[in-house]
Amino acid sequence: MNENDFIDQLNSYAHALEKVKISGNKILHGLFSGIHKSSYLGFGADFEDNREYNYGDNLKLINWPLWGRTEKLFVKRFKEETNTDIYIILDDSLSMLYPQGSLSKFHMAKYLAALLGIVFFNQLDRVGFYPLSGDPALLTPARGEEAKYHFINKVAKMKIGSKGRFLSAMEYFTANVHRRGIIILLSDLIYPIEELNMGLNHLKFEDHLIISIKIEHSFEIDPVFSKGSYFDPENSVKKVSVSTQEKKDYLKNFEKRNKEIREIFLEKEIIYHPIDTNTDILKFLTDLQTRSAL
Amino acid sequence: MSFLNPLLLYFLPAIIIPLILNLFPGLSAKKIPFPLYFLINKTKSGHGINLRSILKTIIRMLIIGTLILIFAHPYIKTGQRDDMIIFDNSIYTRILKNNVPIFNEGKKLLKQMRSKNIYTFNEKGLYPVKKIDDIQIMKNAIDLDLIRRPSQYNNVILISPFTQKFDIDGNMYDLFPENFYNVGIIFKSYSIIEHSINICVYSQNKDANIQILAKNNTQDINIFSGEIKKDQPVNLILKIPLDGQVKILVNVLNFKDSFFPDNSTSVYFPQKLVINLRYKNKFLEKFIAVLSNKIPVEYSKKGLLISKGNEMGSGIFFHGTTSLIKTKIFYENEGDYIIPINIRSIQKKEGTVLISSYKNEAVAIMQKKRLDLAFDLESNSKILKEPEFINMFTKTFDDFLVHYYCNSHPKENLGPVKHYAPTSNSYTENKKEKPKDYQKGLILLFSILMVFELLI
Repeated sequence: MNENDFIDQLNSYAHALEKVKISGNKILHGLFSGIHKSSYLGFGADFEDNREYNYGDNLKLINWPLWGRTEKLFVKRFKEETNTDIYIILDDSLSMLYPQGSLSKFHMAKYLAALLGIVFFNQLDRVGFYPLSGDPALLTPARGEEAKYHFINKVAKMKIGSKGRFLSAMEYFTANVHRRGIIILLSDLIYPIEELNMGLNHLKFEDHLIISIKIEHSFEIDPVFSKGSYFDPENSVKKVSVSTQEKKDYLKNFEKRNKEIREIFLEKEIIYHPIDTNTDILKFLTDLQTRSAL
Repeated sequence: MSFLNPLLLYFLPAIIIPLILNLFPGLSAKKIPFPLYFLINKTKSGHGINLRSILKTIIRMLIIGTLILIFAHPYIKTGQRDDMIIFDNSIYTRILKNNVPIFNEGKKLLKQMRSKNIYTFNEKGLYPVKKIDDIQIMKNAIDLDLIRRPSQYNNVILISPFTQKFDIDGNMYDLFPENFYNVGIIFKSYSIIEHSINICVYSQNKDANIQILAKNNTQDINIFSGEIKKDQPVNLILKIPLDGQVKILVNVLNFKDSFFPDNSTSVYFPQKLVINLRYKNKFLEKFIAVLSNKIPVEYSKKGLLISKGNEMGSGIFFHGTTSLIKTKIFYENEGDYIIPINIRSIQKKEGTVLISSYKNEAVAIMQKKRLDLAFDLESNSKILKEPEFINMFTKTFDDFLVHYYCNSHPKENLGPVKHYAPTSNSYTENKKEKPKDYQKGLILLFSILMVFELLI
């Protein structure tokens, strides 16, 4: 699929995306007003507390019902609502290119990255982008229409990389990103459990709101093995031959690994959302909206 | 042990293919990229050496080996010689000997020989015989001279009535009965202008008193009668006083009961020629004068044509006459218009003659359309290489019509007769022993192996 087709497909969702809002329950840092919780008090919609009236305070903010009960003047204080920095980390390791073609996990990830980017741009957040493999190339978060098209073009033009380096990529990311924001991790998480654990520790260091979307292919979930030599796309030397029906053992191992991954995310309080390539995108976005708000 | 097709044994090393594939499973296994390959259980999978795989490999090796052997066709020579037997099933095998066709005698002989390598003829040529009873008599004669000796056979044995010359090493078994009469004609050529045919008449074994008849729809005329000495073919140039479709046939007077192959043939002789008036010139006049003596000529505006029989295919065509007209070499009436012949529209028919003033183009047309002959109107030199041109100025032109055109136009027919004395039967020794053939056993083994291959 070329870039124009990709962008055309995104445009077909543009209308539906206008109403999707994704914001965490976490206090985040931002510069301008937005929809996320801020640590500052200001002119938000949510009531925080009262304080005694001082000379010069705006009379509109005086809590009159409280004056009625206590005969003292109090001023209402509200929570500030801020925008924040969004980092979309896209796994472009070779394992994502499965199966080869336009319906691969990588295509799904690119598609999701672009859609989520549009959602965050719509809610006035600054969106940045970071591919996992290859040279570290962090797209600094920015907002506005120009940044939005720059971001979408960058995602659309993205090509599959080589071997994934999760830990070193996370180290680089943590060293360069300090403002607390939202991180969307789009990956199939096919890394050694230890590397995954350590990498996520790095990511968690700045106390970001992390949403990890694990992309799976339906064949990985429910495989039908044919006779042949199955090899690692990232390292063709590593291979395993299948001569009989191995499905039962595979599913057992698959469930075991998923459980381990889930435990890691639970422990680190990271939102973990597995989807497969057949998932309806809009349903997924509404699910994510609900879940992240909890 | 010998093999019918020993060249196939070069493929025998192919039996190690299953072994290689078993030892290096990576060569045969389909390679599938799969990111979660590490979740597939390694302990149960793989091509580990086990009894089943060893058995399967052995069976596959045997299958390939058996298949190659089946096609190589091994056998042991026990009394049977590695000979090729060619059985001539031409029309001559219809000759009766003791009231039985010699064809039956030949088949009986073939059965005695018990050879696998019997070849006989059909319309397409030589072919191997599967069942001797399936052999049938051909409707025509066979040109034995065209047989080539295949290299893989030690000896070639020919069973034939030997009505033709045959030159091949090996034994010959002559079916032709002694003191039998064989009379026939060999049709060589004909001239539509001269109304003549050139034939060769022969008689085998005895002097024959023959009569040659020319037949058309209405008449039946004796054109030759006389005696032909044995084994001395005679060339005859005979005038045919008939027009249209004429059948020439030979009638033997002194031994009527004998078998004679159908040597009759058909020739078309047109009744008259039609020549365009304006094509007349002094050269053409000479030509026409010659023609007029032989065949009535008529003039027409449509060019020189034969008035009848175009459906049969004889024709004479002028080409390039316009250039001669321009030089006023020949014309009759000033008001006549000229219709030059389109040389490319000439259809090849039997006995077609092209008269042309453009040599090169005529040569090209002749070669392309395979015309029989062309006359060059302008060239003074006589060109005798093919395609041949005869110059109208030469003195031999008059002679040419009869002599050249008759002789240089041979027809494929039966060859000259040469009698062969019957040779001794070389098959009398050891002919009762049966050859050992492993073909059935091999096929059975192959079937069993295939069943095992499918079951395991």
